[in-house]
Amino acid sequence: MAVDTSSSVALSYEWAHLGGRPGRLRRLGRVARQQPLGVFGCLVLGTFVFLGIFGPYITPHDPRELSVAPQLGDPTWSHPFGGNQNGQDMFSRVIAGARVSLTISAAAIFIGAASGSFLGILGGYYGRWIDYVVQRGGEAFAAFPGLTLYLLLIAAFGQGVKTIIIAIAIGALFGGSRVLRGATIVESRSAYVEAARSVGCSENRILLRHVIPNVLPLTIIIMSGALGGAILAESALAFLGLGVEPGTPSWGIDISANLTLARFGNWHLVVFPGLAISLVVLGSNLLGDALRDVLDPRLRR
Amino acid sequence: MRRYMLRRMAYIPLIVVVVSFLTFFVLRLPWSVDPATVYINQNTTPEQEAAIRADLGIDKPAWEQFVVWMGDVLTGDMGRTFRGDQPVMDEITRRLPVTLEILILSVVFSTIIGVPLGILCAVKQNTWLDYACRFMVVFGQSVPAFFLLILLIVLPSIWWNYAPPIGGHVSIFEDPVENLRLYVPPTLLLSAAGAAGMIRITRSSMLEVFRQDYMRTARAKGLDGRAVVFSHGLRNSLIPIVTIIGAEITILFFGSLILEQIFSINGVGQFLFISATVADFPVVQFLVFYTAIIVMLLNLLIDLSYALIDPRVKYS
Amino acid sequence: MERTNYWSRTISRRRLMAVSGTAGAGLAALALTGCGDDDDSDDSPGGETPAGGSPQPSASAEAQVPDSKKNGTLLSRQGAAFASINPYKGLDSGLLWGFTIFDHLFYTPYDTGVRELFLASKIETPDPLTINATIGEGFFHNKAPVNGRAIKATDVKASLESASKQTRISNSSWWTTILSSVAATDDKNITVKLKAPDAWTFTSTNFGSPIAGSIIPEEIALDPDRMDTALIGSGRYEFVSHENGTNFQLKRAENWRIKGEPWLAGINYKLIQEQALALTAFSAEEIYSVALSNKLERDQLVQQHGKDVDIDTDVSRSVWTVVHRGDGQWANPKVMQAISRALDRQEFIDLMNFGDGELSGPVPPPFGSQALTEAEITGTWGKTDIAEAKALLSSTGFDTSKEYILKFITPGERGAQFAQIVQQQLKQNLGINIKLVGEDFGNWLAQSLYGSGFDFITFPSLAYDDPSSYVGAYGKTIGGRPNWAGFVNEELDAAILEQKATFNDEARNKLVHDIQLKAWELGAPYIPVFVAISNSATWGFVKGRVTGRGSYGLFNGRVYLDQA
Repeated sequence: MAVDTSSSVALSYEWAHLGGRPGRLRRLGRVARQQPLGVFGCLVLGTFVFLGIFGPYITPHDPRELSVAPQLGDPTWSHPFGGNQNGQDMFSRVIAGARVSLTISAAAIFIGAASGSFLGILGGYYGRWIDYVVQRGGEAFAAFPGLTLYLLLIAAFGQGVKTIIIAIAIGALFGGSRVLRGATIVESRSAYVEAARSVGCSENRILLRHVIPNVLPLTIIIMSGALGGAILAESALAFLGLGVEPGTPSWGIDISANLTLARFGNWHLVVFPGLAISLVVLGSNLLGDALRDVLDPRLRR
Repeated sequence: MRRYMLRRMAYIPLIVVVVSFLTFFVLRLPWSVDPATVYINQNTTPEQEAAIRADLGIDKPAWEQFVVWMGDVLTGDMGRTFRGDQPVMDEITRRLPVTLEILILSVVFSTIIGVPLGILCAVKQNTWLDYACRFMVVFGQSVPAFFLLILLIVLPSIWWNYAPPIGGHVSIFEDPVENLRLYVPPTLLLSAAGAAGMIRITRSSMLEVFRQDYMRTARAKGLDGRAVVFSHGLRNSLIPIVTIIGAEITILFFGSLILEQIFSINGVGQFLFISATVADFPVVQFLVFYTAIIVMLLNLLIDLSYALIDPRVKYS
Repeated sequence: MERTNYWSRTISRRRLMAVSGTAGAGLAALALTGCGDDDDSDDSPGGETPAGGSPQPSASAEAQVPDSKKNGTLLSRQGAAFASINPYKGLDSGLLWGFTIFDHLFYTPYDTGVRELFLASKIETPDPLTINATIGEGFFHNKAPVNGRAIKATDVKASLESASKQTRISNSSWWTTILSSVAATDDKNITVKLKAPDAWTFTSTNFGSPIAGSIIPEEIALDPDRMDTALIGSGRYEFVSHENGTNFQLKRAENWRIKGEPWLAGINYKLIQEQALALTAFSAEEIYSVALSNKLERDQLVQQHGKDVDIDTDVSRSVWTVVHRGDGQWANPKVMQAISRALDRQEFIDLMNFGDGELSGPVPPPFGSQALTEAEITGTWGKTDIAEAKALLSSTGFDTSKEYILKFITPGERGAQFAQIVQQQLKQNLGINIKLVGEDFGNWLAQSLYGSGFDFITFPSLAYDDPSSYVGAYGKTIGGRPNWAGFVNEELDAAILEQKATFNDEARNKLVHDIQLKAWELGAPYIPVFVAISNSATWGFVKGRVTGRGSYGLFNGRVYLDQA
């Protein structure tokens, strides 16, 4: 095919050199000035990651503890997001929800992107039958759009966190492998690889010492780009009652559990968890875009 | 060109068989859900249980089931659902009109909102309009569709005592006004993410085209700005737009399920969802079989449209 | 009725004013399929209904009903799409058609326990293993291939035999383990033979099941797949149409067994899954009655519509239950008593039902004499005493260092809510650490309940029509399977068998009552927590209802619409 449709995919490897040069702080500062939205996204995502890690220690109440807030109470100073039907503190639940949402989506993306990158690098570098298998596998999986994959896995393995993680991970897997394959091919034909080969380096050594370090940063970009989508998918699946068990402080679950109550004026029960999802997705999207802009000069403007 | 197409077409059955094979055995792994558990209750005797298994056709070894199923599929019989013991094909086709309408409306909305705004943004780059649109893009891609749909139920009812449309399908051919009244508000919201993606892609590809030499040449020739934008600019940025429409359709399958679930619409998405949660294997197998075919054909169509849009694209 | 929704809302409001002041009593409890998990018992064989009208509403109401009001169409909610309209292929369709399209030989309302004859004109039991029934005059609906012919004994025989072979609907073991054979002795008489005596034979859980007891034409009973597309019965309503298992339309059967009935011209069902949307639809008169999930919804509707709507309030027969293991360290009766004492039932009622609930023994309060009295309940399961609970538990040497698994059914908000409250209370009051595991119903039933794979399980019991079903779990075997909790007690087992073979009603009721007290003493690990008070709202113009008789009220042909 003559047209490269994945324009965002062909990247220069400036990223790889970012860390190695003197004055990188200044350089980072310049990048930050060019990408104020990216910095904002990084801050937002960072806040949620912080909440995800330290949430359990800083929430005013145990998110599962009953009758600590007025039942269906409106937001007040002591309970900024109000209380739900169990008298649980919604503020604590929304904070605690960060851990559930981020753990599942980050785990899924990590597993998917890491194994996808591995396959892509293998295929791109060694070619032949490995490449063939990886490529055909990718094409076969392209026939499973998100929903089909979720439904298949749910039918096969029942509902649960593992199923959701596997489903989201598989979605990220072959996207990652395609990008990494392309980059590996470009890299393995570059002059310095030729040079290394000519001085007698073994193929494995070239792969490990030269090719992988140069294409690996791409994995990070893939991950950051896919994170927003993964969080959206996770929350939508939780909303449908798949994924984590009911009762867990999870944004998607809180929204579906409180839908009917929300109609009776208890808007705070769905609006705050919904805003939390929107914000964290916003953060990761902005960060992902900024990273890509920095690293792909063709899109920089 | 023709040879390329034929090769692609020949490829489709192969992939479909492989995908069906995978699906079939993933559903029947030793640790997969046993669909018979759904139909067994506290008083089911072991003999009845055996009868249920035989009835569902899951009493034989998996490979034997696969041969039987493939044979049926080749003769056009997609099997019967476990849950309601109805022909799978009928169940799906009966519900198809609603889901198709949701898909079509959403794609249409996101395109008619997204493409013009994207062009406008590119033309007026770095003006307040551009910034406003870019904000909308970021917003549209961050807010989950189900949250938007729920806000349609929650907020208007609190503010204006306004109730959103409720389920029940009214055919567009019987009562177009009623039909659109039911489907336009939710599909508008559902198309938000798609529209955002469309604005973004249109804008960036237009900007890219603007920087090309031939655009400068066209302007230098003295062509009117608007004519340049539409005749050269739009034409050359159609490829990414077509690509994203294709991608959006598959994403909208999921969106349609959520919309059907929230607004109690008895469409394909909801049917598939319920079937999956009760391990209704024939439905899931059908789903995979057909989406594989549809996705393959869709990709082929998109590739072909590239050739139509851009004569420089050649397939060999 | 014209369709009203938000675009024509003002019109609807105005019309609503016009009918105000016509508040009446009763409910056509056809909200049967209308609620998801909010009445705690969607799988109930008796179709736990918020309230029911009697088939014979009070005489004063019917006397002055002019014929002009007897042609309304009742608009009802359908909570979920049916997988199939075939009553043999889904509990939902089986129940709905059982109460509308199909007729039955007899029915036993749970409140009186007295069998009432429907199509049968006589039922005799010459010995505990034989039932002779004579059928009265009735006609099938006028559709091919039956074409309105009279019901014969062979139809009944074929129906009962066909139902007993159905693997998906027989919701009680009576049909498989007790029923032996059915024979038609002539055109009007059938003889049913049983394999073993069962005092609860005639309840609606068993022979009187509204699903399995449905009378279907012989031609169709022999080939039940024909019901996938066409339903022909001999009930009050005739099936007209459906859209993919939703939006059913029923019309009055012209040749119904009781002349002049039903008074409604038909019933239309509308699929509305979300409760929020159902309430909106109710306010817009798109449906005439709605089951309410809680007090808030009730108060809101009352505030909005005042006297135009009737609110029916009923104590549910679905008991929220905690079950723990009954063997090993759990076998000591003090463990069950400690756990029960540690559960703060008022908090359950407050959190789950905003205070609208009641304490319950194993057999819920609506059963009257078979249920425990209030004093007995507060002496046993109804009492919360955390200090005593702690003392009881520590005296048994129960291992609180371990994490125990509690399994509950998903999806469903209330099941999850109940499990969470149990988890929190046992952690705080007894220091028992519990991990919650939600399981879909199929897995929960097969692996956890029957497979005994649990430390704790929680669920709302079904709303049974016979009280023995509630205490059946104390037996050594339950429906042919080992006791779910691994609880074995010879004394209780003997008592269970004894009541099943006691044919004197009063003596049997007393046995059921006494078994419950024995269960407390002996530590049977099935802890009843509370029963909800369920509410439903009906527009006042729906008249001819008498409430409080459970599913029996669904056989009512005298509902009518008193609209301007």
